[in-house]
Formats: sequence, C-alpha cells, structure tokens
Amino acid sequence: MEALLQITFGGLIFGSIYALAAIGIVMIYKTTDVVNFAHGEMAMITTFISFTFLQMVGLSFFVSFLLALIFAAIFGMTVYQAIIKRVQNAPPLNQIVVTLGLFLAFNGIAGLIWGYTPHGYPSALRGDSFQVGSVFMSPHQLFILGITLALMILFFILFKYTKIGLAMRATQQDMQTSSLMGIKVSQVFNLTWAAGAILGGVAGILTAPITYLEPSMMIDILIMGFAAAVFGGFVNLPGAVIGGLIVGVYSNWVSYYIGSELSVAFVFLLIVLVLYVKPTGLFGAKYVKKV
Amino acid sequence: MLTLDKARVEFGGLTAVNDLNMEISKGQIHSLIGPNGAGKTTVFNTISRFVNLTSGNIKFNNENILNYKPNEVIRLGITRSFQNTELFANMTVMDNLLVGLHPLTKKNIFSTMLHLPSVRRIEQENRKKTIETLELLQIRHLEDEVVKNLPFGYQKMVDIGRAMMVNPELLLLDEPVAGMNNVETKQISELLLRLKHDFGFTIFLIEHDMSMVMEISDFVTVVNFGKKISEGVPAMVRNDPAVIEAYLGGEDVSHA
Repeated sequence: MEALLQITFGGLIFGSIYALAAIGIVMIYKTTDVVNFAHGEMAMITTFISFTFLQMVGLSFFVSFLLALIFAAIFGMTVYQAIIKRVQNAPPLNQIVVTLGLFLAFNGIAGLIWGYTPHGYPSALRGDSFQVGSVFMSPHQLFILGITLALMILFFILFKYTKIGLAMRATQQDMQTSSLMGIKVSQVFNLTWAAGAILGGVAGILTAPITYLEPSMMIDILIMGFAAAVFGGFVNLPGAVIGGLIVGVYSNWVSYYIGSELSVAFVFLLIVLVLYVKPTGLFGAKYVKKV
Repeated sequence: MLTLDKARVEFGGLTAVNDLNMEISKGQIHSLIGPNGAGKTTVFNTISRFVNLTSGNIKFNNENILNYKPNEVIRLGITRSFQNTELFANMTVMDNLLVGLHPLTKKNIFSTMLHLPSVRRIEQENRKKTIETLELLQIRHLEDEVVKNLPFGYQKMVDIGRAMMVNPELLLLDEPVAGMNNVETKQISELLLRLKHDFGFTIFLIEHDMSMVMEISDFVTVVNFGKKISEGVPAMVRNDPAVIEAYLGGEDVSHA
C-alpha cells in the first residue's frame, strides 16, 4: 500500500508535466488548427536558454526562469509568424510535415549550439526529501505541483474573465464571426502560440532537474503530452489536464508493477481501449469548428 | 449613410451582384428582398468585407469601406446578424453578447488579474449593458444557457442581441425571423421598430417574410440575379409588376 501511494504520487508529478505539455498542444490546435509536433523541441530550446542564463550568465534560478519564459513567448510568436502562418490553411498533411521538420531542425540546432552531452540542471528548491504520511516528497516535486496548479488557475482566469480570453474562446469556435465582432484574430493566434510555448517551456524547465538536459530530453514528454491530449479529447483543456494526470499515474504504475520499458506501450494500449469505447476521447465531444 | 455605387461581385463566371446602386438613409428600416440566390447575402458580405467587390464602391458616412478589414468594420459603426446564426455555440448567451462588446472593452490581462477598480467598473458596465439587451429581447432568463442548447428562435434573438451590443449606427439583419413562429415574428417586428424609434438605429434588413417587410420597412429594394429591379416605399414595390413577375411569378407580393 505504501509503495502504491509513493508510486501514485510520483505519477502525479510526471502527470503534471504531461498536463502542461498537453495544454500547450491542445490550445494551439484548438485555436489555430495546427498539431504542433515541434512543441517538445521548442520547450527544450527554452530550457537550454534558461540554462544559459543560469550557468553561463550566472543569474538566479527564478530570474533565468522568467527570462526564459519571455524568450518562449517571443519564440512561439516568431515560429507562428515566420512559418506556421504560411501553412495554417494548408492541408493537415502539409502542416504535419512542417511541424515535424521544425522538430528535427530545432533538435539539430540545439545540438549544434549546446552539444549532445547531457547537462545536469539544478532544482528550483533544494533540500532534503520529507515524509507526509507514508509518502516521501522532495521540494522540487512540490514546486512542480505548485507551479502546475498556479498555471491552471492563471489560465482559468485568463480564459474565463479576461478580454483576450473571451476573444480566444470565440476565435476557437468561429474565426470569421470573431473577426466581424472586432477581434483581431491574427493577434489571438500570436498570443496562443506565445502561451503554448510558455507552457511547454515551463514543462521543460520542470523536467530537466528530474531527468537531464540534452536535445532529446522532451521526446518522451511530447509523446506522453500527445497521449494525454488524445485521452482528454484533444479540444478540451480540462480534459488535457486530467488526461495528463491519468497518463502520469498509470505509466508509473506500469513501470513499477510490470516494467519501465513497457510503460509507453501500456499507456497507448489504454488509449486505444479508451478510443475504441469513446472515439472522441474521455472528455471530448464532437467538435465542429467553423472557419 | 450607406451608398453602394455600381457594386459588382463575380464568382468565376457567376455575377452575384450586378452593378448595384443603393442608398440607405439614416434612421430608416431599409429592406432588401428578392428570390433565393438573388445575391442579397452577398451584398451583406461585401459590406462586412468578407467578400471583395469585383468593381464599384461602398461608402459609409463618406468613408470608403473597402479600405477596412472585416474586424475594423464594427468600429465604423456597422454590425450584422447572420442567416444561420453564426453564434459561438459552446459559449453561454451572456458570453456571446460580451463578445459583441469586444471593440469597446478596454481592459488588459494585468489589470484583470489584479482585479483593479477600473476593471470592476468595466465589468459592471458590460454586465449592465448585456442585461439591458437581454431584457429588451425578453430573454433575460437565458443568460447562463449554453447557446447550442437553445431552440433556433432564441438563437436568432441572441444573434440580433450580439449585433446590438455596440449600439451600431447601422444594423444589418439577415433573415432575422427565419424559422420563427408568428408570435416570435411579431415580437421581432416590434423590437426593430423600437430600435428605430427609441434608439435611432438604422436597419438594413434581408427578409423573406413579406408581411413583416411590408409592415415595418420605410424603403424596399428588390433584386433578382444580383440586379436591382425595383425600389421604393412598400406600397409602391408591392404593386410593381416587375416585382410580382420576377419575385413571385405572378402572385401578389403581400401574400408571399
């Protein structure tokens, strides 16, 4: 029982990171109709940027973190404006080829700049693990949970109560009518890519201390992020969060009780089963987007 | 107020709007009628800037509309409703109307997060304006309903309400009573007359319900195959042989 609780807690930590990655993927897809396979590699570059501020410039963790997120926002908007905008109305296959191309390009560029040797990445909060009941937890794990929760609340407020949030929700449903209501949809697309890149960047910076920092660090997270997104219904943000947590916990259980080499396989087996029963995902509904 | 000067729209080999000249005067209800496929909605789409003119010009208060993008037309004072209610189906009635206020809402993400007094004041004003509009439409009880769950008649009212939110100078309504019963049609007719008399709206109306058109319009323009075939006050248009022939194949317009 103690092991189960510990494994479940560990799964929630990874699940939080998958959820952050999934929200970014879903938000970008829902608003701009582009499935961004380069999401993880953009997050990895943001993480390397924070590492550069941290180690090479010598800034503190939190200053490096904030500067890296500003970079992520600019990076996201630049990728959208320079590349994605050109293929936004192209057939889905063309978009997939472009984002897969960006995946490879960003991976190669990161290797060229920072090399392929894994780097250690410090935790935001240092200190010994402590015990709550029978569960051991580290300050960094609590930091991950705290940041994830804070971002969920922040994005909930953003979508529910702000002018830009209302504009984003409207644009997600009907681009043409939104434009007629005076909404600058191009601005909404820019902000969506900025927000998506920030969420990915946070996922990357939270991942690096518990794995390592190297150009392929986000591939597993990207796969699990996509799994979480599909699990949750792909157009449903709360669904992506719950999907992330379920995928995190479930994959940890599989790793512990069956074998870590089978965790991804079992996650996708579960997804196949869920999609067999409910083809729109666990929380997805038939979604018709007007353009 | 709004002038179409030899407005022409061609889609490939099809001429949807054929050198149309029109003048819409301030404070009037001006109806555009014609058989299905006559090019009426295309006229609205050119004014909304969704469709480009092949040739000709459109001016609103002496401003050339063609210089503006679709998202800028609302700032000129023109809003519209749609033939097939292009509402945000997964959002509530309240949120749909708030989107209609988008161009007038001045608050940024930081002030919203801090919930500054200026933001609270804007939220109160927006909510007050939304509730006033819902009450005018007699659908206050639906404010928290998700639009996709509403019957079509109510969706039409939400569509009209959203277009009214910014107090436009010119309101374009595309078949506002399509799919409505007699009671709802009468309610919308009274609403449009009230908008004209009490709020000073100018209304450009596309409608197939001829009884309604003849009852509330100050001026009627008739098009067929994109070309104007008649215009004038309702009594004149109703008896125009060209209209009776082209529009109804010989029937009396008032009974359409």
